[in-house]
Amino acid sequence: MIWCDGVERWLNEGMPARGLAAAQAHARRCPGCDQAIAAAVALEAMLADAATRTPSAPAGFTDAVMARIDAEPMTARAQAAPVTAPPWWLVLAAEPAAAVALAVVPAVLAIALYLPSVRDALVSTVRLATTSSVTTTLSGISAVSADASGFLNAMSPAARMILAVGLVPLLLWGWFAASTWLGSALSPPRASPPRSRT
Amino acid sequence: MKDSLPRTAERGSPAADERALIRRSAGGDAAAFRVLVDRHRDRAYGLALRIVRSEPDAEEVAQDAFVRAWRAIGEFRGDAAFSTWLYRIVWRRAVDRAAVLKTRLDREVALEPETEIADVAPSAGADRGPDPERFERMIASLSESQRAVVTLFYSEDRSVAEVAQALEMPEGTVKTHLSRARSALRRRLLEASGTTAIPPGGMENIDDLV
Repeated sequence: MIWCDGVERWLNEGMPARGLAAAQAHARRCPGCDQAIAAAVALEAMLADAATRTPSAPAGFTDAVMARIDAEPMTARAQAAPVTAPPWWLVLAAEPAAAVALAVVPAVLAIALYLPSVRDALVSTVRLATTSSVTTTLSGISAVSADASGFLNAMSPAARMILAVGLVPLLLWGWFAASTWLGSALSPPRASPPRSRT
Repeated sequence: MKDSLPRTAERGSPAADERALIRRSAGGDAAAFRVLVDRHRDRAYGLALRIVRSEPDAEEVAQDAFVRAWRAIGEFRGDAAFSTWLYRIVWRRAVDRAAVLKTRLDREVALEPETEIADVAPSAGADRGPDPERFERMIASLSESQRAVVTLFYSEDRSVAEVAQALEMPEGTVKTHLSRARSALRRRLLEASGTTAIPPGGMENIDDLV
């Protein structure tokens, strides 16, 4: 059994078959809902009738569209064309986090393999940082810096190569970011497409 | 621009024909696109007319939509029907145009309010039967979104999912618009015509509909 609000909801849903019997039963004893159902039936008939009267586009419509298309500058279509997605490696290089990660990995590798004193100093600094005061930690960092500058001068060509490889992603990202920024800064704003009819 | 009509338009299934026409249009074949315009112009114009409610503006909107479709047809991936994709463009253009028209109308109504009110409201002495003009005035009283949803659902016989896709709305929103539109139209039908416009025996006729 449903009430008036249930009939209203059923009508608003487009009178689905589910709920028909209940609505009919209610309408037999509710003149208001009976009238609402009759109105809904009339409305559906009007909507169906309206569907058969789809308006026709004005005469010459297609010619007018094609004339506008013919008058379109070639650049308009080129501008509307989808931009080709950059290759994955370029997208990856454009990510600062990826560039930093790619630079850090060879640096860690070079230190671990070819700069044992810098590695040992780093380890001891980390230990100090976790167990000692700020002053002691800072002195440990300065010791690492001194070790690093001394060993960078004397490091093997292999270690230098690995460090140089580590710099490539950073340089690539810097170039990409700079060119993107310059491109957006220097290119003129895109003109709106013409709206007038030809 | 090629002058000959595409051969594919004359053979094969309509869907395959349409896919071929779209492919050729994307390749710059204006003759193929012309066939697409011919096929879809009435529906595009009809939807635009329902939203902007002005024939010259609807023509402008529909033409503009086709020009934009031509520019962007390379982006059409075929996930939905071409008509659904086109309706989306028409809908966007029509809503933009309707906003401009509304601003203009607001200024004009401020000067002559009685004219507009008389145009929208059903006249007291009008024929109480379901005449098309009066029905269109009832439809015009709905919101733009409701008009678009009603047009696509009833006139274009689209499913709720297709309407949602065309108008870029969640399906729940489409159902809400449909529900509110039915309620508003039904109420307007009852208010405007009393009971005389409603054929007697609604309960007997209902079985034909549900």
